[in-house]
Amino acid sequence: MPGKRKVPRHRFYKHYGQIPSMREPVKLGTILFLFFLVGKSYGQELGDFRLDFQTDNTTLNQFIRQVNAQIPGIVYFPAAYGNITVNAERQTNVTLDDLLKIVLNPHKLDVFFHRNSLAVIAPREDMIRQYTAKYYQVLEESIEASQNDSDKQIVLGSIDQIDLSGETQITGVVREAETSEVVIGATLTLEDEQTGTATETDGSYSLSMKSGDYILVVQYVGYQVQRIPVKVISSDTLDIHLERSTVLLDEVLVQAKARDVNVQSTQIGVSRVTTKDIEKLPSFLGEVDIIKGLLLQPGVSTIGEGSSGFNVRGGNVDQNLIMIDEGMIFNASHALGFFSSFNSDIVSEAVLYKGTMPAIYGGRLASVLDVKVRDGSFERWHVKGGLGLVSSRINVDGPLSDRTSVLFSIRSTYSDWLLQRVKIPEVRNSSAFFYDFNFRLAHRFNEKNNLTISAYSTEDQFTYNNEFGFDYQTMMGQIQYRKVLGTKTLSTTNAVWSRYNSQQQNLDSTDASIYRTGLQYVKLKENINYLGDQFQANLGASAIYYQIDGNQIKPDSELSLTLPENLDDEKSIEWSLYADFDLEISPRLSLIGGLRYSIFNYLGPQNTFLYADPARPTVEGLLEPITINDGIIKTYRHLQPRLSFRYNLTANSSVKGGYGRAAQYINQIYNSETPTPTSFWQLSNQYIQPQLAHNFSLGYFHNFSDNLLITSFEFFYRDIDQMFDYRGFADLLVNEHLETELLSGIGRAYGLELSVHRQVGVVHGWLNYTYSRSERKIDGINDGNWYPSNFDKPHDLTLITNFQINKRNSFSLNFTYGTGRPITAPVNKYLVHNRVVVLNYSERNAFRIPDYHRLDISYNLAQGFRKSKKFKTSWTFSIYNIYARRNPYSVFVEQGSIGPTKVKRLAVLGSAFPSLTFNFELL
Amino acid sequence: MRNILGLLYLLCLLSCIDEIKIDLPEALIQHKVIEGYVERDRNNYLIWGQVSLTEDVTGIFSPERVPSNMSILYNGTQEIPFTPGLITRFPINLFHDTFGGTPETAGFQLVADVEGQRYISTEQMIISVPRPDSLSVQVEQRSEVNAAGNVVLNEYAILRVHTPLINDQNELVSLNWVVNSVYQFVEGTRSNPDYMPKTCYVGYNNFQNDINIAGFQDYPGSTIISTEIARTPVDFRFGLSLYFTVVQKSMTQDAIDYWKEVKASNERSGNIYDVFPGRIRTNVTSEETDEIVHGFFQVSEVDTIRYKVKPEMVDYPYQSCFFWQEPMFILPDDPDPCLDCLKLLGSTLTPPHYWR
Repeated sequence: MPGKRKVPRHRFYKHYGQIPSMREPVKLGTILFLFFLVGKSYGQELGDFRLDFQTDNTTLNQFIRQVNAQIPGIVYFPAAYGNITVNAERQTNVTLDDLLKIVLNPHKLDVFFHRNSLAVIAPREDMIRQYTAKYYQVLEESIEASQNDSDKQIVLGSIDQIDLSGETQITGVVREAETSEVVIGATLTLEDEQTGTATETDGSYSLSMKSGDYILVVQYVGYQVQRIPVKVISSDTLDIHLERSTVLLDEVLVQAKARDVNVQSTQIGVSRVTTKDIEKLPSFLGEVDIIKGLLLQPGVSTIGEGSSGFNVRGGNVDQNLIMIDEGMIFNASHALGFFSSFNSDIVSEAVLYKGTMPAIYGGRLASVLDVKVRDGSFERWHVKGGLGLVSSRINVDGPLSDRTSVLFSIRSTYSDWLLQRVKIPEVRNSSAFFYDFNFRLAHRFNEKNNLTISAYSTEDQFTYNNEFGFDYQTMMGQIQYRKVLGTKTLSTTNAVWSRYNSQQQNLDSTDASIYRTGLQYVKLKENINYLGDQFQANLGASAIYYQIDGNQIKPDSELSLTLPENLDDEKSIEWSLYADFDLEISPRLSLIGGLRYSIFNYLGPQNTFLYADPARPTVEGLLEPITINDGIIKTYRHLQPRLSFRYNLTANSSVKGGYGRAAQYINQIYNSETPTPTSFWQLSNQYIQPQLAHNFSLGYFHNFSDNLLITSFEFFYRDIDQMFDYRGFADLLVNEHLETELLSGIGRAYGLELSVHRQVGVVHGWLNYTYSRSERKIDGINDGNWYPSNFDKPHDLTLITNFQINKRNSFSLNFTYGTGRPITAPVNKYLVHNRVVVLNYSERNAFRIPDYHRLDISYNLAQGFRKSKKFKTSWTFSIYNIYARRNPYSVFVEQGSIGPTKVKRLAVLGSAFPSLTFNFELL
Repeated sequence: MRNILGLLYLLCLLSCIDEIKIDLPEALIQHKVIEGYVERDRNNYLIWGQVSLTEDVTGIFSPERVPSNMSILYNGTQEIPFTPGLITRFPINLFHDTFGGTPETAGFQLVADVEGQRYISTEQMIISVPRPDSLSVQVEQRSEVNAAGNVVLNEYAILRVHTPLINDQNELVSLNWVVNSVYQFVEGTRSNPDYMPKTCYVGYNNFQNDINIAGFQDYPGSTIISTEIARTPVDFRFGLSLYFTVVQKSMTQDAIDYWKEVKASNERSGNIYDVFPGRIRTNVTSEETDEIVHGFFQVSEVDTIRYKVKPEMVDYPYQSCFFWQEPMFILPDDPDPCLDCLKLLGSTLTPPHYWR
């Protein structure tokens, strides 16, 4: 059943008809053809119908209504003339033709009769011109559609709204019935017709057809198929609500994106992931994870299991801006990187902009991950959750009133409880715990004003055998106020506060210590969004105030020999002004352009150091400590133009390009291969320059066989004209002159991404291949020559295959291959003082670990037919790394004494990991 | 079920580390390693140095010496030659009587003439070392998984040092400790009443690759209390008595930085949090060539402290041969140390001079 349906503007015009204004150019031959071959042969019968009529001054609308009540047919008239006053006086036994001419003549209107039951009123000057046969065909079809109404049908449009081109367009939004959440990628097809479409990212669709009766088939995997009889008279809107179903289609149509959206959209380098896209894919320990889903996209990689974050097109982990609504996340990982801190159940969509970001985004060089959390349902209460090996989750959302909805979501692990039951003492003495919590309150004051208040909190705690431990947490609160300023203008005001804390504990007696780092920020942003038909634009400003906690370390026991140290806090403000536009120049060519202007103030007062060479601060060149009392110590300004274009080569192929300048003023500091909980964030200051990059993209997009195969081919190049890397053995923690451990230089990343996506059929899936290089040139490393970054993985391939066996059973395979990442390996060794073996390492990242490959499988069992609809369940069984490949995370040399050296590999996950997850949903 | 869940977690938590064969790069070019030291104990200067070559990383260690002429450049003026690879002792008084100066003003540089090239180090001056207060041994029990996969309780003896960081000149000093041990081993009794079981003194140096350093900047105050400098399993070596010998050395700032890099390099375990290694610093260079050389020249004052561990101190109540039974046939090359304790590596019948 269709859901809540928008009421058509004109339900049904049987008693009176209105036709659109007649704009079509006319030709004499056609009007003759019409009148003699079509009109006269049938229509004259109606024109000869006799009737008695008397009316004084009345509107044409009322007059025609009375006429239609007496005749065996219908008279239609232009809506624009509905309110003119007409006078028929007394007429007895007059033919309809004569009556209408008497009434219409003073108004320069005329009538013609169509077939044997219709009369159409039109301006005389138009009547003497010629209407095309197509017009009458459209008119006839529309009229016939309007006459064949049925109670089961939904009637869309009205006669007065028909388009003379003959085309009608049905638009609307497809939502989930229970939650009103939009459904992205739902397909809408007209049964027995060769036309269809799919919903966009906001759930909207637009479907073109001719007037007539159709069966509109709406489907999306996991939902009941909707077969909606519709009578289409003219363009109209129809919102559809889909109901979830665990009974799947015999032949499932899976479409991750709207029809041709990859070809038609202007923005290049965009990957979208929804929970629905990934929930049936194999996952590590059964945890469906948005960020792990992103790793399946081309151009996105990670250096290995258990590493925090991800790398986009050869960029650093900290070069990705991770946003949950308008809030920035500085550590999005649980369990040291095995899972992300996003509860997939409440994420409506995650959009990753790779390289050329719109001007509305800024502050990072490589990408923006924009995670949107859905509102709670305004219609009904809804409970959803899952029980897994590692954690369980539950989400509750529903209406507090007809204008207010609320959403609670919590996910927590119980690994601590399980660890206590393991016999291994080190494990039993360890603990691991994490949780994440989301709250969202949405209130609609009226149609034009709404307010959202949300909170997000996560925490991870991990201790190992009472020897060491980590604890890191993020807290965030957001307020968003949206106001519709006009029919096409929307104002969005955001205020965000967030705090990130991280600490590492060393629990060993004499080394017992606590190391702490963290930051907090306040962000204010105003965005004005204009949504025109051919032109859309954003104009806005934002300010972010950062306060970085000075790293501190202090002893944690009376026996501890740790020296307490506490660095100063640092502060800054990042101001941004931006404007971007989306302009459809022609059906073939569209542009997204933008400009972002950022000003970064590093604020004082601050204790720092004076160096002999401030451009290259070194310990040797350290002159003296100084205190700068200025309010603003250093200011950076950067103009960041952005431009993307799309040129349609054909209806299903296009070429796109993009350019973007980006500046980054806050950097994550770590000199290991992946960020750790002890990594900290450092502001740009008078010694540490902002990172700057130019991003270029060029791509070819082509969809084959009516969207059966969606393909794309993208080149990218990033030129980083300002960045830094670390000295060997850099001492970073609680270092009051951190700048002496950093070396500045340049970088570049380039490559291509190939994506083939089969959307439809029992067997569907995708193949993504990325060739990517990421290199740096830093004075002081490898003699100033180019060298690969830690995440330089030239070849990266992902193959996802889904088999929809039948209505309840599905099976998925996920194969991943990647070139081994670079490592700095020992090349030789020597003995010092005849006692200590010293390994001598190669130039940085001169070698590679063996290639990575892994196969995962999953099996999904959906609910049976007889199960209650109120309580829906499903099971997911998956095996991660099914052939138990010990993919080396790193290769290292163990040199205990002067005996033979052993080369070893560390495989973070060296076994097959089965998991079983029970999912439930209470409606 | 509970065990299965536990096993899964264990697999997850413990990861997998195993030995593999991998084509690590061959050390096609062997670099010179030029190193040396001057140590000053209470009576003598000890001078040592050598030139060797780096070796293939996966091979068994067999340092290849490079013929060289080595000397110590004293106060930038006088070259004092010595034999590479051997420790040369100079009584302090004799040294200064011969070459002038005082211990407090002595500056040393290492000079090596190798294959026609002269290599010279930066000048180093010895910093007085504070005398360590004491050593202590603590026994720690750890539950571990043995080779058979069973959980066993293992005991470790932990040697801790207690020392000031301030020397006689009231300077804060960075320190380095070198640990050795010697244990007593008595053979088993025999059926032959004329046979006198031997008593051996066995040098056990399992701490050879340990790097125990302390930068004074890294410790609060002026005293180090209970810093662990050695850890060894409690086993038969503690059956009678065992001596730990700890040599405490003063370190210059250059030296402590050098040893920190060596330690960081050697402590790379392959885990995801390893820091980037780099080229370990050297203070030996040549003005005649840009050739990469390794090694370091350091100077120290040293002080030695010893600690005797008796069985009751580590709760090890029986001797190693206590339950030994003489075999019916004794083979001449039977490696059983209860038959012939001289079979033990580093064994001698002569007790160390400090043995009591």
